[in-house]
Amino acid sequence: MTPVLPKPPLLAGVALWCLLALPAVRGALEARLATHVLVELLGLVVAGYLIGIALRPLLTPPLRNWNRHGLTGLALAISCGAVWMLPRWIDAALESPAVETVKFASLPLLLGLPLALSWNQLGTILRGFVKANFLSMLLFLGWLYIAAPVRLCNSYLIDDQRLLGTAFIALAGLLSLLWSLPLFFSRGSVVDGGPIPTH
Amino acid sequence: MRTLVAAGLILAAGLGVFTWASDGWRAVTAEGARRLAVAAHPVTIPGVTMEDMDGHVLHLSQFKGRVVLVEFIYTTCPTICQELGAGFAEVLERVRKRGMGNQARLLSISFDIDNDTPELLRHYGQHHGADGTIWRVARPTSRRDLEALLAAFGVKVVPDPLYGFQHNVAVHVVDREGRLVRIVDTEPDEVVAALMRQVGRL
Repeated sequence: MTPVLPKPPLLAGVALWCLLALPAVRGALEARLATHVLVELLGLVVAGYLIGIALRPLLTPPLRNWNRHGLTGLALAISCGAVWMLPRWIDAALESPAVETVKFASLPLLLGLPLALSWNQLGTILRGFVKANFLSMLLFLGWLYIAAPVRLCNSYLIDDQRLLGTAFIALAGLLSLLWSLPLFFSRGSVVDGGPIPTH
Repeated sequence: MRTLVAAGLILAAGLGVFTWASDGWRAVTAEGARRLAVAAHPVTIPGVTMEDMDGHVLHLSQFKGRVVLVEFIYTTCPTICQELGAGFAEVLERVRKRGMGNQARLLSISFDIDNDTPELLRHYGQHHGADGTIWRVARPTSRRDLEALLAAFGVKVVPDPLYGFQHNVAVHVVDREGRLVRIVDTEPDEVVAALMRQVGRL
């Protein structure tokens, strides 16, 4: 018997993916660095994550043995995220339709989706480790984008860069608040309730 | 076990892709990538026609046989281009002192071709001490030539609502055969060192 897929996340994920791919939306979001990174790139990851939630029932035992404790999916998500953290590929996506296509395919399929299939299987300690690293990376990037005296992305203005840096730091603050709240309200085990960690 | 193998393989592949995507961890920005690419594969600069600060026609081909240091500016720039001008003045002085005046040329190219008239180019040149012989200030005469030039040099100009433009801040070294061979920071020591290396004095 084939497992029944939960439809709403699947539909929401595909809809978000299509919405972000609309030329008008793409043009508007990619006009500024902050919206390019925080709305478009993050949106693509969220789209993949939603699709991944819907596909969780498909990850049945034989397949599951390849992703025990969510390690394989986490490795894939981290690998993909690391490449898209390089500012030069943000520039390249604007210049080259091929890179733009790879961006639109890889962020949902190689980052959001495997993360959704793996996140609920990660051990509590590893999950905390990933969260802590994500926060410190956001703070580091925020500092870098605010303090860099030259453009990190040649296609964007330096003011845009500082805005993104400030937004990274604000996001780090928000996430650390969200992720630490359950510590005060839960008894016993810590229940995960925070949003998806991505870059 | 399978998971460890799969995760290990993916991490190894991810490391490989990251190494490729950063030119061996050497270039995280487009500017860094541009500099590495030029050093590895020199770019032939199109022989466009320009108009200089004295209203003279300037063909890039007339520089053949000399090493040319090129930077991109717009004269109404309140900040960086004025620093670029001051840096080039320092480079000009050192070129003269070392008796390289015959081997090297300095060229400030304006990308704001609509506003930078020869008068403004001359004003910028005089303000910073461009002599019109070793160091000239010029602008391309058509938008097509400008685009071709910016593309060949890999310079990205972004309109800025507050200040006019933002653009790459670098000195481009063009060799005797008219090929872009190096891109360096605007610090005079670094520029002169790159020039001497190209001229064969270092």
